[in-house]
Amino acid sequence: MRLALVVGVAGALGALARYLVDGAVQDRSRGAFPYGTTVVNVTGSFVLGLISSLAWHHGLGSTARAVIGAGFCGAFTTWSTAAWETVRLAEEGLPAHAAMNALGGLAGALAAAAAGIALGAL
Amino acid sequence: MEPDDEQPFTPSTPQARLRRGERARGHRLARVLGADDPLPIDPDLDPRDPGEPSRTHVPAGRTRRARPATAALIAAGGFVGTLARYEVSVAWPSRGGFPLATWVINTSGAFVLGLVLTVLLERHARLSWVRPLVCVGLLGSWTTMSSLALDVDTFLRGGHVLLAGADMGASLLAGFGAVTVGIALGRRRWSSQVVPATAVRLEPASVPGTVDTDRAARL
Repeated sequence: MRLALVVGVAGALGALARYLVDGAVQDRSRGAFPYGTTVVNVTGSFVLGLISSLAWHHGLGSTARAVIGAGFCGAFTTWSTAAWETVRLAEEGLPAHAAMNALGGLAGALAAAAAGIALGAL
Repeated sequence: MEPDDEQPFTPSTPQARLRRGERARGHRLARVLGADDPLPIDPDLDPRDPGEPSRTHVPAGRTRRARPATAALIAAGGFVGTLARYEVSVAWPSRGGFPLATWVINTSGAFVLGLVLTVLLERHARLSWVRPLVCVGLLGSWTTMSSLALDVDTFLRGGHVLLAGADMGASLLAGFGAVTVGIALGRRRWSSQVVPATAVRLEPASVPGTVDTDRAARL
């Protein structure tokens, strides 16, 4: 029970961090492409890959894995935001942006997770 | 320039008018879905936030977003969404097969975001606290990209290419479909049925075979 609460608190921080990072990236970007969400999804996937790999290869505990992985990374990254953005971009008459947001975001997250896994295995 | 929470976002703002003009020239999909109102592209930012992406968006410099009330709402929603996701994923492990729990979580979150944000921005824009609490906090934390990425990576490393492809395809299709349905439902104006009194005739139950149970149920 207490682990779940700690996971929840980590999630609260992750959500807040997502909001701030998204905003910070958007402040520095131009145009219609929502870079902020891609940035949070890529970095969050990298961290999850890293701590999973640390758990597999270097014995990182399940508590840390739950709190940082399921808690922080799970809240830091988001699927609902990315899906909304893709649909809205398509509606705004920007199909290339929509495709890039969808496929690029997913591919970026996959690559980042793989990089995290590789780093953790060292 | 700080977003002014006292002034609700309405379709008459210059940003909205510009977007409507863009959409009029835009994709057929927008007209099919009944887009006659400006929903933001990034649902996590306030629609009036200078960082909101659009064709006319330029770098805005730093915008002060971390006001205590907003931060508290996001954190509260994030706590609940994360806890819910964690409990569901613990109670419903995937055991190496298709990660159905993650798919259900992500798809449901996408649908609810489409519905809630659309209804909120179209009809209840003054409820400015709902977006950070529910959309940024709760739904953003309920859904996750990192689990999806790790699952697909794990499948690919294990040589389960079909499973990886199925996970990606199912997640993408279901996610976009769910948001689309949510937005379309959110935009619909459900008008109450106006049935003129003269058109209503309840068939007496004593006359066999003539009871219109549908009409009786509507009244």
